[in-house]
Amino acid sequence: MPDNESLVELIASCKKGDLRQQELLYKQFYGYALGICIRYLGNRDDALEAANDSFIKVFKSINSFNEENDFKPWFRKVLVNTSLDYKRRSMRFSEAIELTDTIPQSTHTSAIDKLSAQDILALMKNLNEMQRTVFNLYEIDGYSHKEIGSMLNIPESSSRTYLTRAKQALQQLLTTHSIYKR
Amino acid sequence: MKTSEEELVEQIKSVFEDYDDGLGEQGWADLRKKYPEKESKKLPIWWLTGVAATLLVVAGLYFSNAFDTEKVILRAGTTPKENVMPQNSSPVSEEHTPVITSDTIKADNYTPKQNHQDKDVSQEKVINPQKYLAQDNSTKETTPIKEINVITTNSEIARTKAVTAGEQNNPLIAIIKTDDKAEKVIANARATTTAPPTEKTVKPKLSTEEFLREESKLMANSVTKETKKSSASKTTLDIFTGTFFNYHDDNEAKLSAGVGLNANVKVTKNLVISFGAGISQNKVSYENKVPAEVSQAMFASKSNTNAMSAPVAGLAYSATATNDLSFNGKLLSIDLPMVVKFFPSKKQDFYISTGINSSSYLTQKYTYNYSLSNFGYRNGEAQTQTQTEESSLKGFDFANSAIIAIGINQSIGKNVLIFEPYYKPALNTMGDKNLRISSAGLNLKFNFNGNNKK
Repeated sequence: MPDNESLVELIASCKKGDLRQQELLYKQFYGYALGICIRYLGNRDDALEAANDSFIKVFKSINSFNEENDFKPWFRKVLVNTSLDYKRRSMRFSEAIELTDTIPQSTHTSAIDKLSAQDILALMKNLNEMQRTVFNLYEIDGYSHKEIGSMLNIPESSSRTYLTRAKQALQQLLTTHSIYKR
Repeated sequence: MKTSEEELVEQIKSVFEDYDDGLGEQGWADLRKKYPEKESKKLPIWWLTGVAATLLVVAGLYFSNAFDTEKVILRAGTTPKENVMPQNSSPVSEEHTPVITSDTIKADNYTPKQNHQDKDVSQEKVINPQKYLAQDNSTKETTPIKEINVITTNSEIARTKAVTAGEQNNPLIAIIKTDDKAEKVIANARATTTAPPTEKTVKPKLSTEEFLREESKLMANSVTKETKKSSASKTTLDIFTGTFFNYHDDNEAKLSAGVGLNANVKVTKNLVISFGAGISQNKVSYENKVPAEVSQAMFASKSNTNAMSAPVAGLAYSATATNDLSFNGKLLSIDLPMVVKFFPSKKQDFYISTGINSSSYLTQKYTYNYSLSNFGYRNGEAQTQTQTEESSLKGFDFANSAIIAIGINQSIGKNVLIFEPYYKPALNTMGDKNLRISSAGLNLKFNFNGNNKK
């Protein structure tokens, strides 16, 4: 990740439409973007597509970004919204809606701090779509239940419920599969 | 001590904070396929309007030039011989001011005997003695009538010949006798602005009579050519109004209308190319069975609109099911038809035409109604949602439909009334929402001067 000063310069260059600088920005934030998108979408291909769409949106609207603000939170919002849009779109047409709680599948038995990205993704796949999304939005990305309710078009109370269920399911998974046992 | 849950959250944050799979290069290559966007095929409306206007202006100029040429030819063709060699007071300022000579032609290398040796007496009377009186602007005030000597050089002859070939304003230099002192004047005032040719044309010397004879021939030839040209290049204009039905699979046919202007350029006896511009309205509506590409386009635009914003209310989420209820689209478009008309019969009382139509859009309005069942809300009770999108002066679809038509001509004096039933099958989509609209209808065309031209 570039330091703040060089990031400001990089963004200023991107505002001029310099493709090389945009490429530099892309490569510096590629991991960050992919990490967020993959949490929501669950697989690399979809995540890359959503991340790239987000970068394109950023390049197109970077002139509206004020360098005095922090770039990462702004970019994070773009990534999260794009991921949700992507998910919504694909769900709309694939109609592969998961609604029921799934039975936890086995995960690699290891300590939590040793969990790899793949382990976590496998673990999260045991949650249903809504639980996983609410968990990501609330616990990882720091949105409030009110914001989540607006984003997902659900009542605030439902957001709380989904979060509780997600946590319970994860706890059960951790316990059942002795992930927490060192 | 941290709970397992807190520990998991921290681990997730840590792992995914910078999830670099080392394929950034490939990711960038993927992104470059979509960015920067290539020049859109959808041209701006002003560009399109400009093209249409230019085509019409060009057609108009072509049309008017044809008539102008005819007028010139008529005048040239009917010029009496006397005017070519005017009597005493022929105005010098006239375009076709003839060479005015004195009794002796004083050309370089010019010997009257050589030139007139074969002429009979009557010809001599016309040409020689060549004593004419001329008036010139420069001499009007002091000596309105002057006797001038024309210097007829080889180059002058060549230049004069050029007049017959179309350059009508070359200067003729004369020597005017004023108090026994010759001075050069430009006989043709208009010609002074035209640079005279400097090169000397090596041509056999011609007597005035020979020159005139040759001139007459050339003039006659040019009349024939121009007449042929003008008769071959016939352009007419149509104004038309059309009533038609739009339809699509599962779409109830909608009655719409349009108006426009066409230019018809005759290519051969039986073939006419027609192009123009018109405004028409296209409507589609679907109940329940909204085509997938249409609803997809509606959702895509919706997601693009919202993606940049912070959490926006009213979004459908993944754990929802949507059902299409209805879709209505209205497009006010500029149509740019380009067709070839074939007249199979000698009478040319009907034609068959085929071509393509391109469209740009003055306004587009789409209304999409769908029901949304969110399983996290009211136990999945369906909620009706309406999404409306409007845009103006946006988009250009090249060759989005083919045109197949039959025209039946009905003469009204010099003009023609044409009944033209047509069918326009969709070749491509229309507008922002990928509507494939075919249409069939009847154009009523009024063709100016078409009866004379065709």
